[in-house]
Amino acid sequence: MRCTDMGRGGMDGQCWKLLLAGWFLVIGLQASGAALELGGYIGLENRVFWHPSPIDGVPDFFTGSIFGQMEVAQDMEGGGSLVFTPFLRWDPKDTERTHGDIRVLKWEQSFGCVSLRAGMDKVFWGVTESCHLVDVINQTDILEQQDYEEKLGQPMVNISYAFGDQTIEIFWLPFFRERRFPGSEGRFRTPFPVDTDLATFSASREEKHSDLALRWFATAGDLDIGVSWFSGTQREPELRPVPGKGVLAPHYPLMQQIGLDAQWVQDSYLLKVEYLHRFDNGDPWHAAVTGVEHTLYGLWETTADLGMMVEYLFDSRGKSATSTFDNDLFFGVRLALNNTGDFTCVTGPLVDLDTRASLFRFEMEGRLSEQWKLCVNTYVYANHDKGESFYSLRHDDFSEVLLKRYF
Amino acid sequence: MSCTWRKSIRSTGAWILILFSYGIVSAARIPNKGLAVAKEADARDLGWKDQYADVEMILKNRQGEVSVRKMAAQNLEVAGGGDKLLIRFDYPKDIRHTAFLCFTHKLAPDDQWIFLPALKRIKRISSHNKSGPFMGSEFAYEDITSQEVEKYTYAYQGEEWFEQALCHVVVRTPIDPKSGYTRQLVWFDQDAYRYRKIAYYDRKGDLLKTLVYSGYEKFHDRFWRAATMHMVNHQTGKETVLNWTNFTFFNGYQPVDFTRGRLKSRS
Repeated sequence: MRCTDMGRGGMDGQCWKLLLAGWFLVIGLQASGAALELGGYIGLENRVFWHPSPIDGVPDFFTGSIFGQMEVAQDMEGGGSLVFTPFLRWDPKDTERTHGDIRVLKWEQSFGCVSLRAGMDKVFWGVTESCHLVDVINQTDILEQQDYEEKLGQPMVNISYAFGDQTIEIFWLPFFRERRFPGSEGRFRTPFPVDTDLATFSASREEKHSDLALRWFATAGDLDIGVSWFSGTQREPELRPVPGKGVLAPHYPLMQQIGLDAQWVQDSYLLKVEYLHRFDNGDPWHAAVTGVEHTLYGLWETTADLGMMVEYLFDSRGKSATSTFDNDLFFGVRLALNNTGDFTCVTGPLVDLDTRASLFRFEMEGRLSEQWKLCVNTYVYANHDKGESFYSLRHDDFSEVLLKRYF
Repeated sequence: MSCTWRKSIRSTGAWILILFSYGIVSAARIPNKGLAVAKEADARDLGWKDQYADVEMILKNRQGEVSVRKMAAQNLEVAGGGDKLLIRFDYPKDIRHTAFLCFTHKLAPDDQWIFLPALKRIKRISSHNKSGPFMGSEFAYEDITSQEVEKYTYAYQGEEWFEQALCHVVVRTPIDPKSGYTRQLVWFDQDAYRYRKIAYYDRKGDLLKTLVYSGYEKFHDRFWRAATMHMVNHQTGKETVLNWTNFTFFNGYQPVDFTRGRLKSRS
């Protein structure tokens, strides 16, 4: 299990200590008679892969895993609250995918217009659906879902000040969370496996380097806008081949970025834009995602809504972009039945306009009962030629069923 | 002879004109009784500043199957404008910590945001769909957001007894063409101008739903709040019951507590 890797002594090495601290906190609060809120879920994931893997040792067709998350929260007298949310996944086939994380372990409190938060938490910035450009604070947990929306908890101290319709906030981010990669027996792995023990950093203090971020956001009638700045270690590693070892080593450079996210709502239309400018690490580059979402309400006199999204993705680095979305178009359709089961389905392709390489997603979820939820997802990676970022995933088309039990 | 004839026509015409003008002026000065009742009901419920309540929503379908939703609702009274509403969902557990923020406006579309706890994402949503169901219930978004007097035109229908209370019955027509209703019939009791019953008529003019308020309690000697709201959809046979408990007023809420930056906090 990843948390036991004390070799690097980094964030993951501290993981066990933090988990213990969290549990002592829970026990202590319970002993003091404080009313704790407990919640969470346990899930079962079954995946079926459409093609056998060309790599030896990697499962050909079926994988299964169990995952769970618990949330413990305590509202304190005086207005603050403590939240602890550990997460665990056990994958019998891929030992690297078996991992635990503290998603949240924080204290937060508001004093009038000022809000304070300290500890590990997740922060989301952004408005677009196909790609979250400006969202930079948390490290992506790529071992989780293939939509890359799951994040690792990030240690932070955050102060927000709200005035009128505007808010300004500052983040101090000590400790960097390294990205975890699938193991040599895991699906979605690169042809040469990634050895995270060989990770290098541009920062001299490596993962103990503190990062800084600032954000201003405001609402002006139909417009929601946000501007952000970040300085520190880039969350996406550059994977560099290690000569003679047949593995890849992640390298985390230092960088600065300025981001803009804005959304304008007009009737049943949402106009969205995200813009990112990154510099201080080699040649500066910029990227943007812009799109429109239109919703048809009450289809055929029922309570169902149909949302249609079109987004264009651009990256000035062209084909050398690490994110692969340099000149791409996304079409999405979201059907929401608005019934008691809250059944929702999102589907659509993301197509590279130059190469026709595409990423097709189908995601469906609904509540089976008040405790059980079902998700069915399918991902297809099509037409990816050698040199494309998703080339290594071309055999990894899959469908999965997730069953979650909430408590 | 013709001269007197013309003279009498002119004088008759003058009288007709005078009487007609008087009629118009009088009509303009006759108050719209329906509007007056609506304004009185609104005026009786002013000054509560802010409100907290726990809400249990019970959904029943035609087959008798029941689903439960639980939430906490906070309201902020805004002088001269539309009220602000913040709802935090508690049950079912998979939507726990989901939050909904709404700034009602008297005539402009409402501003609405939703907080999705799994992604920690705050999404601005379009309020265009005011006639759509709130949480899959029989209450539409336009039914749960604050009922501003300016959103309707009114006509007085008459008096009627409803559940041992003599009520004013007022016809109100939504001004917004996006509303799901062509008109509503509202029963206000004459004692305290409280809502007792509302009948909703759909876009075809047929009776769609009926909402009955019950279990009224008086808070701070001034504010009446119903403990139960029962909505029945006559066309689908579905029902939704809202049970309101733990009303508290003057909590000291500030506008900053109703901003999108605060949606992600726990309370």
